[in-house]
Amino acid sequence: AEVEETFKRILSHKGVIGAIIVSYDGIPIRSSFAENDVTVQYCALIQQLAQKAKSAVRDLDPGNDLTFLRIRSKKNEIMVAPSPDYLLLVVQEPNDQP
Amino acid sequence: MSQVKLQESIVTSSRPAAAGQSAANASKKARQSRKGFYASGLYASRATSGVSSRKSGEEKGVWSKYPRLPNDQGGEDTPKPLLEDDKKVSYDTKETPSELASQSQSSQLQQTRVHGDRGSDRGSVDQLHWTEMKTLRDQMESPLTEADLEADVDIEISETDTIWLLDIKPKLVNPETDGDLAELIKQRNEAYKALLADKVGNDKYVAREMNTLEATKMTKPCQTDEIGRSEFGNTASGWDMFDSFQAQLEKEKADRFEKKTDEELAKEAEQQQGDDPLEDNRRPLEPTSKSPAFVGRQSTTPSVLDSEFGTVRESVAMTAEEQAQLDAILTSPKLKQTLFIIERAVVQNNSQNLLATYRHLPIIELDKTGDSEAEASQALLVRQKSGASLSPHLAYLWRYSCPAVKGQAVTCMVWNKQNKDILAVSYGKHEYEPEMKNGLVCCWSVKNIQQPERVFRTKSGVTALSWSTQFSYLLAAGLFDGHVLIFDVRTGSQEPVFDSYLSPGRHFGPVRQLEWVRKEAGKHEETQEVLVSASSDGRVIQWSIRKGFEFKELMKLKRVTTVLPGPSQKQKQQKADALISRQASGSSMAFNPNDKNVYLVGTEDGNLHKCSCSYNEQYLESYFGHSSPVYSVKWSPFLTDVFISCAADWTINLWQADRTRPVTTMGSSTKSINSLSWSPKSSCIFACVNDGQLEVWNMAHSTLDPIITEPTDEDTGRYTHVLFSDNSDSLLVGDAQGNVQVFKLENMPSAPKNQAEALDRVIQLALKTELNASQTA
Repeated sequence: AEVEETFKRILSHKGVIGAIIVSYDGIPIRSSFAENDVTVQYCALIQQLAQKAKSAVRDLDPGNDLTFLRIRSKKNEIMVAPSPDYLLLVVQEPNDQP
Repeated sequence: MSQVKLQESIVTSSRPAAAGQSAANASKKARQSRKGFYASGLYASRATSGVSSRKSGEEKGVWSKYPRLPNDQGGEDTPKPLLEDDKKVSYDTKETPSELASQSQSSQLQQTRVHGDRGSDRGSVDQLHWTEMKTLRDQMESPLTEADLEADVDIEISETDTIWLLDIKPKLVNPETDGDLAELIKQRNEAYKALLADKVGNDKYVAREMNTLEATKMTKPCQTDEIGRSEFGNTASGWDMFDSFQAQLEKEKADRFEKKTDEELAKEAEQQQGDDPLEDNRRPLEPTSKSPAFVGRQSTTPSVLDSEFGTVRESVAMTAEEQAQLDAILTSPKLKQTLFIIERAVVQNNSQNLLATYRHLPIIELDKTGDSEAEASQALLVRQKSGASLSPHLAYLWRYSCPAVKGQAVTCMVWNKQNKDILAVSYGKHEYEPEMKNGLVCCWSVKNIQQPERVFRTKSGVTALSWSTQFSYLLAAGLFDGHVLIFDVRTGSQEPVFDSYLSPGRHFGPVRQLEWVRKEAGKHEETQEVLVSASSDGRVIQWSIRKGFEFKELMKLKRVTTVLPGPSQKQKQQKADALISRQASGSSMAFNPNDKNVYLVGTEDGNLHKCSCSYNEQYLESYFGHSSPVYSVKWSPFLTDVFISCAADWTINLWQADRTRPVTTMGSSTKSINSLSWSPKSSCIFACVNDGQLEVWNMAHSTLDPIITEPTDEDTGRYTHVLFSDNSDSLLVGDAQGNVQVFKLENMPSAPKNQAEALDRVIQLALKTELNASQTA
């Protein structure tokens, strides 16, 4: 319940386009995107990227691990928090007003 | 090494023995050819040496040139090599003489070339050789006649080349340098000679022939099933191996785990405690045993995963098990933590500029509007200038507010001692109200300005807060009903870790001030931190958390008659005798930052008392200057014996510890001053709030007027509390509506180099003027 509440709160912040919680085998558990294909696309692509990033970080130093990944593009920003069990990603359009 | 030398020799017949029939033929032609054609021939040597030489000639280059045998017709009958690579040469023996002549010409040319570079151009030699072999084949097919047999055969004998079959160089030993070795060798030689001599008629040696039987071979076919093959590939990255080793280590630990006693386990668990109170980084105790790796968890085939996870399965019929697993993910605490962090990130994105200002970072324009830093700093400059012109002023940054706290007054704000980004704010009421609302304590962070990160609800309004220094995650809250609660903010659970509900020594009046004090204890105790609370019931109580929640009464505040100068002093004193109670009620408290045994207490009568923890009956000193409850008293962070107090009588007094009268009195409005705070950066600057406005004073500049005033507006309500920020030039103001506004101080005068001196100067000046005033009066 607290998870749901926080999830909804994140979505209500200014500029947030959507958020997805993906399970470890690639199934989106919670998604705020209405269209399923958008969700699936985000899941697949971001998971691969997070996997690659984690691999890179750990190759450089095996004691290290990836905690957070932020991809800033021209139009928006994708924030990814990977974890052994799941992956949480939030897409936000950045602007300066709170 | 067997070296074969080319020799000049005239060959007339040099057919290999195998082709014996046409030898006569060849010789006949050779005789005729003596007129003209001579060839240097290796094949001469072939003929003399017979079969053996041919066999030994397996090296290349041995089969070099075959002697040229021109035939009767003027052509050539030189045998051609077996292998042809000269396509121009044809197999047809019945060639026109002209063609043959041309062949001979070409072969002569080749030969001359070979003459020219002996031994170097092996390739061409081979070529020539092969060409000749073909001619040889042709020769064989022409019919022989009786006359051929009778003909004379000229045979030329010449020496063969030396063919080295074995060449072992002798080893030379110098008997002078290697004397021992030479001796040994000599002995060996002697022995060998003796052996040889012996061997002749010796019975030990029998000459015998042996024949090795060649086993007859037979091939036998057999059949098997197809041998199945499969390929398996794997890549292991560096961290993969690390993970496997870690797993092994952990397994070993687990084995040892079982053998340990409980005490040892408890000790180990204590040691692993996180630092940041709000970010709950504690690892789960048992390793997660979920199966396939995700984003590179402990897996053996990380590269294979890429292809697996590339395809997201369509959520068709999911089994109940899978569903349960997914639900488990949703309720996991890790997910909460992650959401927490992401929320911070999201909010930070939105309020990037504000946070940058707060932290004194340059503002970067993040947006689509082209180029960036110049514009943004321009905007900030404009904002600065639009305010007052270069005089100190406040720039509003953001406010901490959420629906839960709306309507409640902010009663206290404190920064966390360890992590200066965390702010605890208490909400409640200072005055009694017929319907007591529930109180709240919220932990806000600079990193998330939209939502409090911890919310604790209490039964009654909270009036005092303090963070512990020793355990930076413990937050003590004093309630309006006199109770003292201690929360652990790491877990965020609503239940306080300690509370004074059952304690007999609890307060009966609202707790006005709380402070954690580090006490130097006796010889056999370590320094522990105790919580001291001052309340309106006139008692100052020290709480210790070592074993349970123990209390110890430090002081009972007694009413002291104020000794004020004035004519009707005696009368006042007589009146003061008839008091309702001898107990004074404490309204504020401050421990001396240098001497932890000494603290100041402000009472509702307006008196300030200096007390010591060692004496609980008497005051060390009393200060008279206020005529109404002292709401706040604070020691100066720069001068050890200077403190400042504010009261409901519209005044702020600056005191020195050894003077019972204030050094100077400041005031600028006709409203009671609720709170005050020293600036951590500059010794002469402090801020105070009264009901209507926020004031920042610079005593070095003027003690008559504040340098900044910020009036409140209607929707913010009256200001109730003020606090400087330690790590940034900012000021926080709490108001009666539950908002905490954050302002940035701009254009403040820079801190004096010697802070103590600056403040001292102020005091001296004030004292001097007072002296002058009293003298002139």
